[in-house]
Amino acid sequence: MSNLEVTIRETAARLLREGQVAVVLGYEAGSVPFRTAPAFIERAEDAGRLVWNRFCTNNLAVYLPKLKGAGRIALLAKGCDARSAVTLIQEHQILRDQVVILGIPCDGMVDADRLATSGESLFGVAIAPGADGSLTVASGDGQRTLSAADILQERCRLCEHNTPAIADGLLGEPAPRMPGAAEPFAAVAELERLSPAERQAFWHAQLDRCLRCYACREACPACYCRSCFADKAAPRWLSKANAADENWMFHAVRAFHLAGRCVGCGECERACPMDIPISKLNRMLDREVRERFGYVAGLDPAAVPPLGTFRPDDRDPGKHEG
Amino acid sequence: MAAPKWEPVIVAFLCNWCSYAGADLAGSSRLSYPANVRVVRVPCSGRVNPMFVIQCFKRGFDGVLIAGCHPGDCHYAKGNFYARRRMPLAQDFLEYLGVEPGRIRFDWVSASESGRFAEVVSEVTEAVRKLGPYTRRTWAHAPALPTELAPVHE
Repeated sequence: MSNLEVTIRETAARLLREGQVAVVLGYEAGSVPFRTAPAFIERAEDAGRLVWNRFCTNNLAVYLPKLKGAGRIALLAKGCDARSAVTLIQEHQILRDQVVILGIPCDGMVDADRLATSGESLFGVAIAPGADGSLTVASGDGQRTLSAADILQERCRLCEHNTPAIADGLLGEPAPRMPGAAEPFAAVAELERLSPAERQAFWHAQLDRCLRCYACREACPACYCRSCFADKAAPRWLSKANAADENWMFHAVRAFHLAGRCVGCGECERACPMDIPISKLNRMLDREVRERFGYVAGLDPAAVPPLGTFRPDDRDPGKHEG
Repeated sequence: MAAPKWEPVIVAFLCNWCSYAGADLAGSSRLSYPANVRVVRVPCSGRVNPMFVIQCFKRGFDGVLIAGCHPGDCHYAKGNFYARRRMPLAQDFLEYLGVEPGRIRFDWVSASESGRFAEVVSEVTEAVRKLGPYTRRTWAHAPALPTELAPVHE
């Protein structure tokens, strides 16, 4: 058990015992070694169920709007989760004093699929995270140690705020900056080098696979609308049919609704059963919003998201390079 | 009989207070402009949800024009300021999705600018005509599925 895990359990138990919070949102062991499950801890004696390892990948901020009225909530937050919480505070989905952000400096989460393709069968193995960021994988064929940094999720390699920017206390020392943080938009720029026709072909090929299961929407902390345009019958924006052009519209609108709000936690893409590179859509909008409005989502609870406001001296479309 | 020549169809979202009145004046002034636009009157350019534009392309229209009052002239004081943030962003985002930039035009036309309305409509029609029809994605365009399934394991 790592020191951080001990600190998390102790902090959770203390907050619950002192009655400071009604529930602690964290992670508990999943049913297989490379998975964790969200845990809702309501009693101090249950705090021992909490775990912290390289598989604590869910963005737990997604539960904050759903727990409105449950009392004060302590949220175990990686850098991305903390930014999501800030977005929710900005948009009045949760009151600032109703959430305690327990910031966890994060070294990145392991991509279970990449772990599987690195020669490890994920069934019948035991995975023990080492303190130095290594993972010891023990199976019937013996034991092997892998570097977690080699099998990180892409969103984690590109993460710019792995140490929470906003927190009510940091559990542990600030984490070193992630290697890809200097160039988070390289994949977007690569797509932009293609012609519009090639890009259209690329996106059609990707979005044709969509099942419209809406897992991306459900996993997203910023997609909290009680009534989503995709579900509406009047007006009916989208057919229920899993047709190619309907899929295209769903993804275009979903991404645009997150413009200036998406913190790049990448949960949409991780939740996608069809491996659609959804975050390439969000990243493009993230970069544009930074360039146009000088705004980075999820860093300032008092800021107004850029598409919810304006300046009289905004660039005019006549001068738009288009 | 020869196949009818393709003509672009463009949806024009015109704000009630300026651009729609500008279009009306263009008509009563007997100005001629291409008949390729289908006008949708909206209360304000700020009423135009980028979803409307996406919907137009989903339905297979070839281009979209969004026109409103000049900044500072908005009947609701600030609707067009919001539009000015979101529409250019939507334009670039749709370009990223593969919709050529010339298919969407966002501009200002006041109630007195009937000549300008005719000009904007001509420009956008010509731009879209050059780009050709917008091909909406249906399964008919998707690659055929393999008829035989390859064995997954040796």
